[in-house]
Amino acid sequence: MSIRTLHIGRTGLKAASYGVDVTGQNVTNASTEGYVRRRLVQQTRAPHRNEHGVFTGQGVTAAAVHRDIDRFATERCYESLGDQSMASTAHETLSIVEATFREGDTASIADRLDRFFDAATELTSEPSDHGLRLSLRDAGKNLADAVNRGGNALIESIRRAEDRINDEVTGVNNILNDMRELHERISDSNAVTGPADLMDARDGLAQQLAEKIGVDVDYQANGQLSLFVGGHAIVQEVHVRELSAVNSTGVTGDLSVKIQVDNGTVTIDQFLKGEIGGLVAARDQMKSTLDDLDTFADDFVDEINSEHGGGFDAYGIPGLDFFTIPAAATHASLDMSLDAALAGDANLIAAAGSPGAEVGDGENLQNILDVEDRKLFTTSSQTSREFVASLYSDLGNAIVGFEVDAATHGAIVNDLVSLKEASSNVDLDEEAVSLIQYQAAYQAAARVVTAADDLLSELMQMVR
Amino acid sequence: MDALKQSSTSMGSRIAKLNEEVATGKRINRASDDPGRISQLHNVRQQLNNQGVFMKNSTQAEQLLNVADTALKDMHSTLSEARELAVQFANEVYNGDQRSEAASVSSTLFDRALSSANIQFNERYIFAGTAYDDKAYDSTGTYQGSTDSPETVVGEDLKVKTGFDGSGLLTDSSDMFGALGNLEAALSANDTAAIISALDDIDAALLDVEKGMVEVGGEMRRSMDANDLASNLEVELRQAKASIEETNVVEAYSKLVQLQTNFDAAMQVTSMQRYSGLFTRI
Repeated sequence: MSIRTLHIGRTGLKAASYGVDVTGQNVTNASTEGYVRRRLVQQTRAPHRNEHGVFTGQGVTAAAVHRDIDRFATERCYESLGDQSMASTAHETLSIVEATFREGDTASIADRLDRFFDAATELTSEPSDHGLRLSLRDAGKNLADAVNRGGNALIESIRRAEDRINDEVTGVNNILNDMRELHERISDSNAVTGPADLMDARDGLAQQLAEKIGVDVDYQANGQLSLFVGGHAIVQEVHVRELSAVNSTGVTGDLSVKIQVDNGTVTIDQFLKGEIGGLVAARDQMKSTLDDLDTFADDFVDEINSEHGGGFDAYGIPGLDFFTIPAAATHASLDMSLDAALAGDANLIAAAGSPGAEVGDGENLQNILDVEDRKLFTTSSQTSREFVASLYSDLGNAIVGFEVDAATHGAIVNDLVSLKEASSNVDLDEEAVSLIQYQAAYQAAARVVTAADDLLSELMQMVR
Repeated sequence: MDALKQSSTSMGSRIAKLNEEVATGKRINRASDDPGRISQLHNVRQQLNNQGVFMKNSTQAEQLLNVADTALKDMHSTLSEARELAVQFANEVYNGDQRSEAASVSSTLFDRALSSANIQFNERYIFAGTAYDDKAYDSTGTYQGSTDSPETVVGEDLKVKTGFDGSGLLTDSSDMFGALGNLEAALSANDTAAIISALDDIDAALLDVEKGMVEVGGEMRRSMDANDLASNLEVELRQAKASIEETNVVEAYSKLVQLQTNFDAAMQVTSMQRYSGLFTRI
């Protein structure tokens, strides 16, 4: 027996005390978002060889505090979070735009197109009737207004999506910089005194990045994290690459997200997931719908104007354009309007087929009506009405697709989160058992100290 | 708890969707509700809108053609009377005074025929062709309308005439007013040979009017058929539209009640759950 026994007891007291601390930390953080359960790793201290050549122990030491994290589940979880976030953001964004293309709405493009041709049909009964001419003129104006409204809703939504992308990219860069700071602190940290908390915070940031842009995650052996987007590293230990949102043409809809690489910048739009990826996907769908609407406006107006120009108005003069789209228009759908002269005088509607200006001559109205059934779109396979219907259904299909993806990936995320939390979440029952164990260990170590103290006291008595 | 949060979010959106279905009575309120049926729905809606206009146009056309038909019957009756007059006074037994009296009757018949030829419907001169804002025939019986007939669309690729070129319909191979004028002149002049000649002209004019009646009758038939077709199509198209876009409200309401019950039950279970583990026992 020696002072060493006291020391051995002391190490036991210390280790048990650390154990209680770790258990207490787990219990008090059971509800903390992102907290990963800690586990104290104890190690036997190097043995001591006494004067009789016998190796006796030197007690126990608290070697490390481990985070109980399932890396596989965590990596998969981050990837699926990116997919789910992308799909639900795209779904949300497009659902707002869809309100402008609501089914059965009497102000919709589809309905106004029908009413335009209906008004022309009605005018055939009385081509000179001023009331019916006004109806056709107003139906034309309403159609142009509906197309403008659709185009404006799309371009505004694209603009808003790109503003949000800009804001989110700024947010992502802030997260990347925070992550770099954490990585610097993690690499400076003592293994026992802190990286677990820093790693929890770092993993929280990684989850945010997964939700924002979708990342491929790679845990390094030294506890650091590497994050990739489309194969390009954006975080590698203490090195980060910030994103930038760039619109090189200045045209709404041309915003791209890029990262700086060694020999320039790389566009990563096609690799993005998460909220920003969802905004990009929604933006691209809206651009496609806007392109279709522009095509409709352009080709429909050309065809109607062509037929209208072949007829004669109530004054016997060849028809002017019925609709106008300025030559410099970026988007035909935004600038389609009724011809200004015709808007002011319904007698300029070229209903007649000959210049005699006879009141009952409505021959040219039939030519205008023929446009309704003419296959003008999609390599001459769709009428104007069918093209508008497909514009609606394409948008609807995209929304449904994203909704299904969001639900599917949501279910996957739920499963992976459960798997992840099975390892990393605090189980209060397990912590209660650990508490009892460390309590008992502390009591036992205290008993060792007491026993050693008693022996020393006896020794002191003997030598007095 | 996370699983409950997720399922309550998705249940919430399903409840909102069912609420909308019940409130609007439609299962398709936006393209994303059933993108595959949108083209079909739009097609049905377009056709339905068309039938409304076709029915309106064909009803109006029918009314105009009825008036035209009546006018032609009047003209036929007038010409028949003129024929009888000519047959009667072609007989040598009548003297100049009697024929002179008959001439004034013939003059009245001329005016009647002119009035029928210049019949109007809604301020349109039906037999003036596309120039129906003015009389078809002037006071001498000379045609002053146009040689084109106005047409109204009453169906898909279907038009009916809603006005006639009088020169073609009434006086194609004859001269009705010329014949009546000649009869009056012949009676006034007490000229038996001229009366007989006018009789031949009147017979030719009767044939033209009969042909005109056939043509107008044909257009009336087409207009009535177009109206019937549009009316029947409208009924079928409404049913087709309903089958595509409308919801079974009772079924939707039952689903809604069930979802709401499930949602409430899930909330109850969560609120009853509390930790009862080892920590409460040590």
